[in-house]
Amino acid sequence: MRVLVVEDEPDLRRQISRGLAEAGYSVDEAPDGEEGGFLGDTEPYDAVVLDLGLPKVDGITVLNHWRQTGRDMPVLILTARDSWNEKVAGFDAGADDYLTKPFHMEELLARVRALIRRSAGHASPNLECGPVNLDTRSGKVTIDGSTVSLTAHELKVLSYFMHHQGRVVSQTELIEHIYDQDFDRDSNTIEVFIARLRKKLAPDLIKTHRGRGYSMAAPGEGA
Amino acid sequence: MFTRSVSLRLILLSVTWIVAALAVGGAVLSKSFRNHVENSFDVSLHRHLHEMMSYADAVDGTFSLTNRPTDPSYLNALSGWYWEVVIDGEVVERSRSVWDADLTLPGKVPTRGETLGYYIDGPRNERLRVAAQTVSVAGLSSDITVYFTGPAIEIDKASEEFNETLSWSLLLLGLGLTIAVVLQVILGLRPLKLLRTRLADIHAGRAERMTGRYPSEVEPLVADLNELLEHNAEVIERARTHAGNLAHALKTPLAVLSNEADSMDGDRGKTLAEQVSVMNDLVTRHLARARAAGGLGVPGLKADVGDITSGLKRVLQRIYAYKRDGQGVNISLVSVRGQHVAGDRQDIEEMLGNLMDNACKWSAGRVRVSTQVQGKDVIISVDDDGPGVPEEMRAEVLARGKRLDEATPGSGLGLNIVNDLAGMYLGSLALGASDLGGLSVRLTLPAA
Repeated sequence: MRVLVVEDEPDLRRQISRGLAEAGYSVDEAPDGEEGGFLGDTEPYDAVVLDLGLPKVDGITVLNHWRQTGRDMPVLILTARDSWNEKVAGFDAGADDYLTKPFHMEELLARVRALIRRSAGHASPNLECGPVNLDTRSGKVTIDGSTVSLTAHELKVLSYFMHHQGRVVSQTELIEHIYDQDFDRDSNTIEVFIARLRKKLAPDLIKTHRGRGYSMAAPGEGA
Repeated sequence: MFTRSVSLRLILLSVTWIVAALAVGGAVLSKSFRNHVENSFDVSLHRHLHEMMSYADAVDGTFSLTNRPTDPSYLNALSGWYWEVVIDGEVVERSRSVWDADLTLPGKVPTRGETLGYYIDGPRNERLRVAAQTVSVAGLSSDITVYFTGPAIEIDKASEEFNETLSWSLLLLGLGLTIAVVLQVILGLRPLKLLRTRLADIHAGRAERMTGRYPSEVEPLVADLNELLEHNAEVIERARTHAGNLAHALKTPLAVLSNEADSMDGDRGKTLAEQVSVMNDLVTRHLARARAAGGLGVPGLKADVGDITSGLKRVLQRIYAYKRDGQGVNISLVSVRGQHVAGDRQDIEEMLGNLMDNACKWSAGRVRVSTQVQGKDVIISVDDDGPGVPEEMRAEVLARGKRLDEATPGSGLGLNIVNDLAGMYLGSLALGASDLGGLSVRLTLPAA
């Protein structure tokens, strides 16, 4: 899961990025509306944390632009401006949630998690696929009730598949959503992660579609 | 003493002037008419005087008349029409009308060639108008003085009749002028009255600026007033922007501190987190007040409750869309359309936003916003079907920063910020039990 953080205050941006990274997200940062807007236009994000009071281009304008050009990733507005007047303006511009400063990191993480889950069409924080269960709040993975220990990268790959069950996910898409933009991407590592997941969970959990990518579905549900 | 009403003052001054001018004018007219009548009277006396002069003759050094005046008035006894001829203080001839009365005509003796006109009292105590002339007659050693009189009552009568007509006319004229003045003042001051009505409209929130055409004397005042109103609106906007900027400036560092505190272990982190929370509460509270204070005392502000609540409903239904496993909250708006309250839109939105958010937070799925007009107030009720608040704890909820349930997220400032704002707007906030089963919050605000 890849998240964009657009915030002009460097300390806060660093804290949010660290919090999100620790929760298992790949994070890109932008210090102003111009760069944030550009990243949102060009990179596929699973969620955006957007400050409203930004230098160069303000958050509402950036959000309006995204929505008008069909960018529909979930956006969490993070702002010091907490009047209802501004909340209404934010939601009308296309925001999905609103968090006012100051906030607790757990609150922000919970909101981002919920946004990503809902945008993939899941209402419950527990994602299931056959015998595999992923608790998005804790990152705990179980198979038939017993806990499985996964590395951070393995969890990222599994989490993306769990959110997009029943759909063929290309290797490029997987890379784009798992690594932030500065990461040295290597498609071979994806194959390694998938092999490990198959080994740790179930051999037939993730199917390979030659030349197209991979898919994950509960047994009995084709893809 | 001058009254405070400009209209009354103008009318009183004008009427005083009218009365004074008419009185002086009347006196002058009356006097000159009397002079005119007197002159006419004198002309007839002079004619008789001249006639008499032509009859004067001297026979052997004594005075004699070749003829006597023909006018029969001088024959009727005590008619008031008399004549006498006096030489050296002695009456040598007199009209028959004098009869045996003692007429002391002389009194005044004009010098030769002079003609005098004056009044005396006659034999019957009537007033007489006298014309007297002294001439020399050829053959006489002394000058003769001829007196002619006529009853002055004829002059008085004409003068009186004229005065009566004059009084009536002047009275009517005075009344007419007074009516004209009153009309002039009323019509002339009408723009001021219009001004007052428009100002009242602004005060009552029916208008935002002065409209209509005004005379050139009032126009600058109206322009200045409009400028002042705009300036006021600008000041509010600036104060609000200022408050917003301050919030942004303060809250971002607070967010950094708060996150830093969360990542610290032990009591120090906890203390820091608590202090950050206290600071945030203070900032929120005072910014809300500062923002609201900007909008107070400014006439002409009104907020559309229907408009505001439908915007809030849109947002809140999205915020709470995933409540109750995705069923969300059903917010119904009852008779809010077209309701206006006196106050700044943002402030009213802030109050209603907090109330509706609170209701959604606690509700089990249903929230209802309804309004009702009571006298000059609009009562906005926000009801929910949540757990409600027990009666004995309701006062506490409205008190500063008190939260009944520390576990539900929120600053705990919601209801008492609304309470503060409502108080500043001369309104009130009351909590009660709702027919939906939960809490009913009644916000009373002055209608616009």
